[in-house]
Amino acid sequence: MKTFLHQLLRPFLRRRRKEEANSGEPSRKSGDRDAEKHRRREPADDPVRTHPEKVRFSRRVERDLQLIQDAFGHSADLVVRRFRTARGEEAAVVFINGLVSTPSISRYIIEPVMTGERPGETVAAEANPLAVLRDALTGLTYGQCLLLRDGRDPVACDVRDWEKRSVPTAELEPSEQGSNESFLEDLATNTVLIRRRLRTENLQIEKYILGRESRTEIRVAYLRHIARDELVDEVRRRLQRIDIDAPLSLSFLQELITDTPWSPIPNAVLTARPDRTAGMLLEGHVAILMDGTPMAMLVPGTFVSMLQAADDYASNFYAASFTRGIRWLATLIALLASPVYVSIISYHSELLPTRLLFTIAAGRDGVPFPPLVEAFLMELAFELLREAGLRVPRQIGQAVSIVGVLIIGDAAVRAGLISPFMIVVVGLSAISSFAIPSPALADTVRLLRFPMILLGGILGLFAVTMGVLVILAIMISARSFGVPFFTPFAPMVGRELEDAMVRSPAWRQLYRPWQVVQLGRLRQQPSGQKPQPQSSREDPDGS
Amino acid sequence: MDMYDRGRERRGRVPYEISWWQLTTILICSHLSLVVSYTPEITGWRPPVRDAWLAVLLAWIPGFLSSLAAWWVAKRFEGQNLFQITRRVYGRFLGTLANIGLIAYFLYWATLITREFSVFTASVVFLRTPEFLFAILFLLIGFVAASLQIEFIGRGAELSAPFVIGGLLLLILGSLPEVDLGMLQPFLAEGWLGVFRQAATPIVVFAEAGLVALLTMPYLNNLQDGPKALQVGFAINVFFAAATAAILVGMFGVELMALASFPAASAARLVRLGTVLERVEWILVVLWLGSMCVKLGLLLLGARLGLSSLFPGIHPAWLLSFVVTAVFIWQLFILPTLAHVLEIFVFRLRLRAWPHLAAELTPLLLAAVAFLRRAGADRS
Repeated sequence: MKTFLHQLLRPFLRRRRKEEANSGEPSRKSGDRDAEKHRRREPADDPVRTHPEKVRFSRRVERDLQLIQDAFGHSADLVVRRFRTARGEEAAVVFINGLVSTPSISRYIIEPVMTGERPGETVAAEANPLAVLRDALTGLTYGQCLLLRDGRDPVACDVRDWEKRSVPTAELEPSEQGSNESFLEDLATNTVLIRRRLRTENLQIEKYILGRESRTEIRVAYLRHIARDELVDEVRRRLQRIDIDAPLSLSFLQELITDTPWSPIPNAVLTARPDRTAGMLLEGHVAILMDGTPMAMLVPGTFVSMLQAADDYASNFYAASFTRGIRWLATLIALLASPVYVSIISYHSELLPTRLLFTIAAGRDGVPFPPLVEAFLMELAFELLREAGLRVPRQIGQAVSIVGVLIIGDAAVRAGLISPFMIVVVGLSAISSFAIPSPALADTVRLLRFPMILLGGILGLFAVTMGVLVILAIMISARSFGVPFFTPFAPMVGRELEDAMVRSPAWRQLYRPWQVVQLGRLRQQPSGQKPQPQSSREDPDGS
Repeated sequence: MDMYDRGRERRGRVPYEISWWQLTTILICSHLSLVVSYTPEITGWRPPVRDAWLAVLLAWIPGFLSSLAAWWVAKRFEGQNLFQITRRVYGRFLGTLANIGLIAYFLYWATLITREFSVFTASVVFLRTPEFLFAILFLLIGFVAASLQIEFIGRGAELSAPFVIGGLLLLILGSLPEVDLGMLQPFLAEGWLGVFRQAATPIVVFAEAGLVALLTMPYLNNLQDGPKALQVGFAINVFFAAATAAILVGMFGVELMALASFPAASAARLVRLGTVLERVEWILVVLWLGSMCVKLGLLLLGARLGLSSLFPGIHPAWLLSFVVTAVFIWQLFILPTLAHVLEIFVFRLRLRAWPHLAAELTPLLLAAVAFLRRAGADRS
């Protein structure tokens, strides 16, 4: 078979070789020559490349250096500095340029060892002896500096220092009255941002390295006395079974650990806000943070949690309940406004009062498309504008939106291509989709809107209702890490309804969600938290 | 991952669990879905008596007793489903025969419901769409519900029951301005005999709850809550059925009611919500769909569970596919016209379908035999 294929492809292969020779491109022949040489030199089963966790250090500088250099394939950014200790022993430091603070290496590692100030040790704050090559390689890629000395185990010193942003403001999930701090790409800073809000020894942070090629650091945070052991074990189990080359983002990771791999509805909460993360940790959820990603993933995620925002707990509970209701309404409008409009105009015009019907009919007069096509075109145009606005620089993005909405929309109505009512309906559903706090859920709603419009255009309200039933069926049958996705509505948990569609006062929030909490469901003392200021008439002195 | 789905981890017991509220809402969905579509308390005897609402208040008692018997049986045979209980009570041979009868009945009932609901949809809202199209859509949703088991049906009922209740509230409150109290007077004009005659069909319809309870009660997570679920479920059903009967008679009068095929839908056509909506029958239908799917899903699940008890080696998905296909084919050949469907609710004709009534009495019979044979009792 292989021979047959080779015969079949021979003319093509020959032509390709000729093309490469003629073009003179620095392909495998010149540019990558060194790398190619190394690749050829190394056998496929070289343990340094295939199983570095099994390769132990020999405590001899030359040999251990050779191991590290072989593992990195003589990478250009790998820096080796050889020197002698005060006792005359061979020594070397190894680090990756750009990830470390070189003055710190000179001052706190090389100088003490060379001068004999502290001949046996460094003065780095974090220095761990290493036994196997894997630990050294991982350490180097995370900004550690390796100190090699004859007769001793290599030591990994933490001198990481790379360019990073300062703590940014939460642009994705801004808050009007609460904190506006946001996660950034640096994992250590993100952990600190959580710990600053939960200064308890019960906050556990576990570390995992995922990705055969990326060696991405993942941290799992939870409150050990609140989160259920089964939940934490399940998170561990699902993370440990991942064996891919690189988990590139948290969304990517979410797809690898989700309960419902084919569901269009996300079932983990992604947030960029440390205060929201802390709040959900207090409810027994588990946070997963990834190096290089300015977000946290919180599991289990429920539908209700995706419609909650950090601002809910930073404003008065009446106002918070009202805005929460607005968000639910916005979700319904974003999903159903266009399909219901198409259904009513196409099939159920008798539902509308006569005057309203005449107004709509007058607006549609001369429009060449049926409502279904009209709605599809407008929704597509909106998605185009949105995508274009995201891909261009922010200043131009605003201009694109204004041009799209005002000029193109107005021109389409004047040209008689679209009815003014359709512009109103699509605009309303577009604005509503922006009111959904979870970007992942908003994307899903926008996506589901298209099949719903199609259903409405084919079979009217009946089909729209069937579509809603299917969406509800997906949601009520789904689980997120074992927790029903549509709780506390289905299954109904009466006590938790208080903090679902409305936000109850702080003194009434007695219980944590029962599905994720192992002990101590009570958040506060069950009695006595309701403020009861002393009445002026009840003077304690009785005077 | 079934970490918190403790129902599936119960060894040697029925898998899955439902709460008492879910059981209540299943009862509500299975009864009110019929009230919204065919309003049997009115259409069971034509012309209806002015006191049709009073007939409803009498009709629930046998159904409630039957449901209580179902609860007693489920409690006596805790952790076993209907078909396992039947075999334990009647013995292996008779139990298997009884199970075959129950499977046939569930298939028949599911067929009837599919046909009734597809004819209703085609007659009320989509006059030019073939009925079999609705049958396919309903059976697809029912298939999904039944394949996801009682847990899903319970959650679906939890969400659907408020909608069907909301739809009936909308109908009742919207119709109030049109109600003429004179139409309901004089009280007991046709005498108690008329009221009892009118109660005949609602008695049979309420008795369906007994079988629904027998099917769902073994899955209750706390069997002590069984009576509470039955009480709340029956109270809501009775209230809405009686209120709908009173409103409809008060709105149209008994003469017009004798002619109406779908009284609730006819009333909904006349309801206006200010200047926003001219008529609400569409909203009523939309709010009714979920409860209809719950009922159909439950019946399909019943038939599937029965077949699984007979053929434990066959994968449930195949058995469910068979059930759905059989129901679809069967419904093509029964009740060819709307008139035939409406006759189902006429008590005289309903009695002829004796297996229907016999099946509804199953919980009472089962409880009586179990009691006499002391089956399931703690012999220690």
